[in-house]
Amino acid sequence: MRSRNNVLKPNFRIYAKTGILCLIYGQHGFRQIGYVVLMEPFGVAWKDHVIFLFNSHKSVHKRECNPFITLLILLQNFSSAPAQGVRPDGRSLQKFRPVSINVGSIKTAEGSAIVKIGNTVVVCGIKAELAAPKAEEPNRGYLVPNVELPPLCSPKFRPGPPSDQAQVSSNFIAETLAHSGCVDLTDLCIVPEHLAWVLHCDLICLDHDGSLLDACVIALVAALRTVKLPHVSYDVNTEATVVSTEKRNKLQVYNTPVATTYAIFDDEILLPDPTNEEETLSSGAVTVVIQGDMLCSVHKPGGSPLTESQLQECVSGALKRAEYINKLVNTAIKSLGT
Amino acid sequence: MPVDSRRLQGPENANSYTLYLPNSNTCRGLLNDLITNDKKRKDGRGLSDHRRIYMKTGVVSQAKGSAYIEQNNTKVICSVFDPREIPRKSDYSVNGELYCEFKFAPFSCIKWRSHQPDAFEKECSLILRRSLEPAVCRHEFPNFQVDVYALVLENDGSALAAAITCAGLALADASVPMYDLVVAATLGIHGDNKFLDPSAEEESLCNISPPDGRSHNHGIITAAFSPAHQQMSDFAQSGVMDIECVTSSIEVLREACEIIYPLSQQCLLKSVTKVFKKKQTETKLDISSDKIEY
Repeated sequence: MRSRNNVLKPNFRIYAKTGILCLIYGQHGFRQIGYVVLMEPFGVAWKDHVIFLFNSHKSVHKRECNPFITLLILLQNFSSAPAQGVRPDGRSLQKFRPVSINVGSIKTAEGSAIVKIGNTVVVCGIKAELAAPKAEEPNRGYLVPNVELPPLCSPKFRPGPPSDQAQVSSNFIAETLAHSGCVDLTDLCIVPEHLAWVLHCDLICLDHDGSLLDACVIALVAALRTVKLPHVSYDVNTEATVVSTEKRNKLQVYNTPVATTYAIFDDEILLPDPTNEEETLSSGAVTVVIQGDMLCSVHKPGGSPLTESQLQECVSGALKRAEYINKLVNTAIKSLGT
Repeated sequence: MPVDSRRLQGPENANSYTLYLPNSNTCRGLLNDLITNDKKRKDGRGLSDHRRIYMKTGVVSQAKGSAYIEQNNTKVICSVFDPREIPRKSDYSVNGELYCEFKFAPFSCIKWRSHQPDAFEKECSLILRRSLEPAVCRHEFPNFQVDVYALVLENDGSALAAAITCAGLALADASVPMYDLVVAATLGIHGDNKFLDPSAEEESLCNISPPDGRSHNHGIITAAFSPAHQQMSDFAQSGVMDIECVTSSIEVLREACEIIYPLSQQCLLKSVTKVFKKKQTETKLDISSDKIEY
């Protein structure tokens, strides 16, 4: 309960600034671990102080003991947490958080899915529009994915234009979608050169607690698999378009990519499915996208370097997870009854 | 429209496929479609029946307080964050501020919505702010602002009223000092018919003038109340209607809000008891672990 922190290098020191703010100094500079409120000025009397430890904004712990001892115990907890093999949220080092998927719950969208990984929530809604295809690609439709990180999901984001992270994520999702070939764009064409579908795939994060890309990819694929497009007839001569919603066609999804994120600590420890806290503390992250039993892409934006064997480890872990996630998505789609 | 280079763009001339639906329904036909002869609506409700409401607090783990509300297909999520200093402000303000943002998800309506906020969303943000401000003890956090974000995941009418109720709950969940909760309801007016808590179809009907010349009354009223003080914190009306119609509508809306109010209270009560129970088990665990350590 008390040690919500995790893997830090052993050479950290605790700084108590006039006994009010308790800071810990680790690999990534200062990090506040809590407030130490003393009844008397720090240093006047060591014994019998009441210490309040505000470990997070939601839980308050009150403890009566010597402040120095408490600090020492805190120190011990911080250093022993990784050794015990338990992460701050109580799972073991190589464990993933539970995943839940809900499909087709947004009726205004042609296809939709809500994915929860632990606390992380991403909702994907797909809206269809009609447009003329591009002149250079007359027999292809459009697929426009966008990842939105609204200020609603985390205090990290501010209102206004999309943050860098949102843009990077959008680009990653677009590339994954294009390279995995899970949707054939020629399927989206109705009449070459004249009419094609535009699928706006909007991914909105509702709760950002790490492993955003994993949730985005699962939500996108699940939503694409629920898409049903109305039947369209188009007369080339009169340019008349008639849409009938009674007859709907399912969108063909050819394969299902699954992303798995690992956080890197101290250049050697790999933690799968990191939470937001772990992500901010880590020295880097790597996202592996698996499609079927093949490697689709590896996304490693900077951070500390990885050895070949570590990368292999990531890929084999991601393979196992992809199998599990695909089963989960299949069950969710089946529950829709189509 | 300026090009948004930070997002991936679709083609410029895309249109919603609903434009091409074979639709010959006139206003009267639409009205007959929405109300049956025995004054029942499409979903079986009477004209002055509210939809069933589902509310939940504490849905966003990263936020200080959050709430989710569902009125059949209308789904709104709202989160509230810790007070922060008002950005770009040099003078001292005695009262803290509320920053409210109301947003439709791009896929929430019949037509795809652009990501950039439009005038309607800006107006709704303002209404949201005006309806919440009287209920918050703003003198408790001078020079600071509390951020309130509401996102409509699916709009099947009355989204603004749902957002106000949801934001009131989220503020309370974030333990922002308040005088009272805020609840809101919507009334759609079309001729002699008054639809309480209108669906999206009914809202679109209320936006057009009735065909027969008898009465021009049409429009949508959203009102927010703080029932403990019997105060109306905001009143937003669109459309044209005579004064008697407005006064009688306020009465209908007040009654509706008084039904929603206990639901909000119960929802809060539930979340508080949950926290206490969790804390109890936590302290039990702590005591046992202390014995081992010291």
